[in-house]
Amino acid sequence: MNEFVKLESALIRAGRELDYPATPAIALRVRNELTRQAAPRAIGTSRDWSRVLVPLVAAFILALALLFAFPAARDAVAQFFGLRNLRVFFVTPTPTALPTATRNPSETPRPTPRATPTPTTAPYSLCCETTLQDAQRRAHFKLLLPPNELPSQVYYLNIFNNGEQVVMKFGAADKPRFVLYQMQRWIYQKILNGGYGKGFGPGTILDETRVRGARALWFSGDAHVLVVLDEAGNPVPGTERIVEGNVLAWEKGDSNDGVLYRLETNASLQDAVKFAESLEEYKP
Amino acid sequence: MEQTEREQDWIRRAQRGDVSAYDALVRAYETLAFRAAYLLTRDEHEAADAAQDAFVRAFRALHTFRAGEPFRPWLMRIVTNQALNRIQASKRRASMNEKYAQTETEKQEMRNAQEHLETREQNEKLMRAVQRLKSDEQTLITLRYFLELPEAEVAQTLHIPQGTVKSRLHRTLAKLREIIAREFPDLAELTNL
Repeated sequence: MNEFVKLESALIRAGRELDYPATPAIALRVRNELTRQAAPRAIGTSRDWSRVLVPLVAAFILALALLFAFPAARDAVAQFFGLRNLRVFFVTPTPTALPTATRNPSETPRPTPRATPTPTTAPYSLCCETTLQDAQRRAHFKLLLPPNELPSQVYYLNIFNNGEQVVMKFGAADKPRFVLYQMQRWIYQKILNGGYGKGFGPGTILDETRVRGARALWFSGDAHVLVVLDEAGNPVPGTERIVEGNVLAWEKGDSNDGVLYRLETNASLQDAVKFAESLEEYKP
Repeated sequence: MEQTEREQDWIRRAQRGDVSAYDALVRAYETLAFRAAYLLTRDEHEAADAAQDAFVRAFRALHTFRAGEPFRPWLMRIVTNQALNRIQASKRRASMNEKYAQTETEKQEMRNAQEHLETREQNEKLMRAVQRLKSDEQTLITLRYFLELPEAEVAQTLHIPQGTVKSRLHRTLAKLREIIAREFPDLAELTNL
């Protein structure tokens, strides 16, 4: 007979009958901590939201500074929120005064959440316009197209000779319904000034969704800044751009030869996913 | 979907960066992690911090987790290490234990004096006897008896063979019996056959 049978039973009973404190909201704390570590607050920035709102450019500069300071440490957490080739950083806004003429001085000023985003899809107009056939001939990956629609304009770009981007506009060239970015081996960084999940607060809203079963991200709400990173993870000067439309982002393949897709649109999430899931390989 | 299958699915998705999948993993294990940390630190706030740190570290190390392996012992190893590190780093173990004993005493006074008094007193003394053990011995008792993990899982958590768990448990219980005989004679009946 086990010589410790009574002692073992007493230990088990003591463990069961102990008055444990109620378990705190560990999951929430973990989420907050990961988010906090992903975007440490800048020294000297105020948390006083009453004086809002955040010029995106200021947020962008702040985020770039932080990125340069802690690129390696934040990489894992950035990937947590992003995709393999798309990094998402949350930044704390730098407060500025609201125009006083637009508010009652007796009111407590506060940020105005956007219940319904009113995005505008900026037509792509950078380098280098070409034809669909030429873009496919030059690109080292298969381009995707909707089954019954050809793009109104096509651009092919290869900045570093190590990555390619093909941009297609669908709809009127000056007011497209969809602008589809297809890129390989480029690392894109998104910088947000909002929170995670619907209704989280003012700023850009990031939600998760699926495109043909693959994890996808949906950016809506306020505008956000987009910047291209080079292979060393440094922002490429001149590539920063404010994105005002909604964006659906997803990937196909692995990080070596996979393709990152970004769909800028004024359309709803449902319409964007429908469009994304309709895409098929282009057959010249 | 079975629990283990669902868990492996969460892990695979979390390794790919799926936020909601990692949330689900944390929620599935937060109570166990918190209780393990509480049993070792005897402090509610230290335990919450240790559990939180453990989950953050686990997230960062998730890429090293091998698919198909059981997740709970892997996580519990991180949790116990975090709890023990917090104790050693803060060097507040004595005060934490005193605080725990004091809190327990206060709770005890508030309870109905007749209700399970004897058992509760016995549990309290037994807990205090366990606290006289070394930290690795306490971890062993905590995992095997207080949290009732199977021996095989304790072995996985501590990265030692199952046979070693058995022999260490035997030695630790023998040591606990000595402590009881020396410092808690009221509990002597627990050490008799």
